[in-house]
Amino acid sequence: MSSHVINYDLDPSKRVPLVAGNNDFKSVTDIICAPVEQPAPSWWWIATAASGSVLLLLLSMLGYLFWEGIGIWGLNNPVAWGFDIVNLVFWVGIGHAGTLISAILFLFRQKWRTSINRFSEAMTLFAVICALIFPAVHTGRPWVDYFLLPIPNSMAIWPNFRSPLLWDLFAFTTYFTVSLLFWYVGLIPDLATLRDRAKTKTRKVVYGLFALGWRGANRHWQNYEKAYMILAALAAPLVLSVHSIVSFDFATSQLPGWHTTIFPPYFVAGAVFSGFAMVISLMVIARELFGMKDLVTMYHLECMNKVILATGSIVGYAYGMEFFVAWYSGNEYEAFAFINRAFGPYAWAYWIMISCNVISPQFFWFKKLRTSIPVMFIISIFVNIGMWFERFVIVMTLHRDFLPSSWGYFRPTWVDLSTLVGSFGLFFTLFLLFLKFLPMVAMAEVKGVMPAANPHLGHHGEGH
Amino acid sequence: MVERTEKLTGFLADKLPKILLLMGTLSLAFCAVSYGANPRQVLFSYMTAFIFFLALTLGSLFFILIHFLTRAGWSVILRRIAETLMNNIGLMAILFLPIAFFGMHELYHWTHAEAINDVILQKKAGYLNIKFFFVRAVIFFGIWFWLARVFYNNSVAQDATGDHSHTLKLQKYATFGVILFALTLTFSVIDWVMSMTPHWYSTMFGVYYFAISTVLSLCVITILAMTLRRAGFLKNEITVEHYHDMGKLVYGFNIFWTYIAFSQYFLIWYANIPEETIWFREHFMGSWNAVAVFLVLGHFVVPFLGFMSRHVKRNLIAHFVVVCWMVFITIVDLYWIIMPNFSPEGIEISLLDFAAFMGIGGLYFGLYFLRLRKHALFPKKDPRLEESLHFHNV
Repeated sequence: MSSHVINYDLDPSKRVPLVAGNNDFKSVTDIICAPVEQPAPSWWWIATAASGSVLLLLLSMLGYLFWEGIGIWGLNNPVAWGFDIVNLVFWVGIGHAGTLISAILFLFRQKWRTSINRFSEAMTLFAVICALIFPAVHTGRPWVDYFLLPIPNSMAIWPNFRSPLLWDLFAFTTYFTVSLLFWYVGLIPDLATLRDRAKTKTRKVVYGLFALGWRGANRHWQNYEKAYMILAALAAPLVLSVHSIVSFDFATSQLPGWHTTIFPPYFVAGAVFSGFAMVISLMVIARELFGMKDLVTMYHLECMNKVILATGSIVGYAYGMEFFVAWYSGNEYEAFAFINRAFGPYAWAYWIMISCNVISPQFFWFKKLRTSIPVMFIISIFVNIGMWFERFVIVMTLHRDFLPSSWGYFRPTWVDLSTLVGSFGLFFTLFLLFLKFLPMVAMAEVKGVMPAANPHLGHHGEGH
Repeated sequence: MVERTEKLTGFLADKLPKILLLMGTLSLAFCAVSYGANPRQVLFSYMTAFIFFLALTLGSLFFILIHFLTRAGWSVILRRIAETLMNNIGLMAILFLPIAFFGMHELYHWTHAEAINDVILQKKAGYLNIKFFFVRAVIFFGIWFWLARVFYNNSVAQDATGDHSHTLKLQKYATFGVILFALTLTFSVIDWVMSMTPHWYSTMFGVYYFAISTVLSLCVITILAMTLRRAGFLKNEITVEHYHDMGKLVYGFNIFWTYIAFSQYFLIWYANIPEETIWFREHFMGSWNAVAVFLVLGHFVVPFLGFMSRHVKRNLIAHFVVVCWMVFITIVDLYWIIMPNFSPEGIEISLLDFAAFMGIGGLYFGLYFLRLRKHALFPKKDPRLEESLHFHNV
């Protein structure tokens, strides 16, 4: 241990080191490769079995749905949109942290992203997969999904290009494709590392195949950096576009409570908010179990918590703005929609949303709380719950439409609930497979932000 | 350590402020004289100029807040230029007085006696009434003035002592400062601009003005830095790397502006509800329609294509042309937002439009250079100054 401890909070001229402990390149590689190379620990088998069985629950619910039709869901006449769209928006939102961290933080040169980007990009992909299930099955007839695609067909029926639901299809597939490419490009050098370290033939061949013949040559790195920059630039607007288009699903309507101009940026902020919360929930556990505390330090977690606080405040601003303008507009229907949200039959959901999304992140104002593992874990779970309820509250605006005689109440059926739970099974199964088979931290990038990678590193060594 | 020119001297420090102040006073005097003949024109021209310079001041305040909030290093060298802009908020408060004393009736028809018979305006009377309007104005300026003073004074004080505690204090203030900023900016623009069409509402309006002010202030900070460079100041300190980064921010925030402006328009167009579309109908009347199309091209297409390249951002002449264009197009944007309330049939450019801009602008930049020469041109003992000086784009 070095004798002089720098308090980075008190010395603005120093920057917090992004890799803690006495690590060099070799030890970083060892730490990150360990979970992939060593036999899976018993908890991994238990967790995978558990989430696999929850995944089976999802599959059986989908099977039941295809067999029986959407009558098994809780939808009713005023509430024609139910859990499927809530879950869709929830999962897509979770999928926003990855691209924000990889693209926008990259463009803003936030170097702390290197320890968490791989992890959250993987999370993004899996969350988008979960999300895509819901629109694909929401009619209960997945075999006619090809109607969504603008392909010439013998029936001469085209999708309605003016429908935001169709834009969703384009937005999601673009987002998924670019995120996948981005993630994969970033993985290539690390896959090559795994290939070079492989002890068995199979590993060598499989990792070698996906490493695309990477040798770490100067020219490879040059192309890599260029590709990464271009993908980051392409992915940055996608961070905004996907959730903006999701918000259009609601905001292009004429429904009070749905139709409001602030929806696009408000949804994007909410998505980033929930995505970061999910990263915190998972990272707090993963760094503990895999011994990655030197790579994902308290500083990283604190930065993420600050982003949660900031985006949570933007979400709070949007809630407030909606409420204010609902009153300011002098439009009684608009005002009713909001008063009904807060004090109507779904007031319970509204206040869950407010407490989880607006009140709970406020604890992060205090350094002590935002650097406490249990506190941040609990708050991140609250934020996830709150963001699910936000979409629920928005969708449930439907339950009291313009005709009081048709007012109703939506109750999810056991199938609705099991499908939601099941989607977590899919997410966690994919995630656990990722943790086992791919390096969860971007080795090459983390090394790039270590002092040893700095060509101007002084002649004075660190204390030995 | 290299010797650096710290203080502004010469033409920019001595002659220019006098010229600007004289120009400003004369132009405003011209506005005042014309007030008798054409009060409406004077007030609307003045208001447009006022909102423009307010956007510049608030955008600079945001630049400073975000600088401390994110503990930025690269932008330290540019900070004094922005701080001095931000510090003009006191002048803006004084310039608001003519609007408060003479402008209410002409600018805001919710103040008229007939408003009593307007059902919708009656519902809003709890918010849109003169007394509360003034109370809010005092609160907005109070908060901005206080924030600007705290940030400016601490920054200047650090020049003498180099004490880190100033940086730490401002980092703390930036957190709640940015929240106060968001709320005051939103409600001030609702009061001063959105309520000119008092029936109309849009939850995005505050964000729209925020986008305008951010792009504008980034451009003006760049222009000022280049002006100083031209006069031989901070030539080796503010390098092409800093301009490149400022260019990226201008580019990014301009796309953000487009995103916000488009979303607001698009959602209103798509839902097609009369009480919302009315605003765009008024802003698409006659030749205003041509202005709207010009904005799409000039505010989005041209900079989007023209400013994308790294070479343009790193070529200071090309960069200068682009940011000047952005300032111009921001004026067009604000003119398009405000002036259709004055001349609904179409654009009517008046000499008074120019006089108001030159008036407020003259006082604004006259005072700016007077203040800039008082202290060092950059925060010379900022703990992150070295980081800023040695900063390189990858």
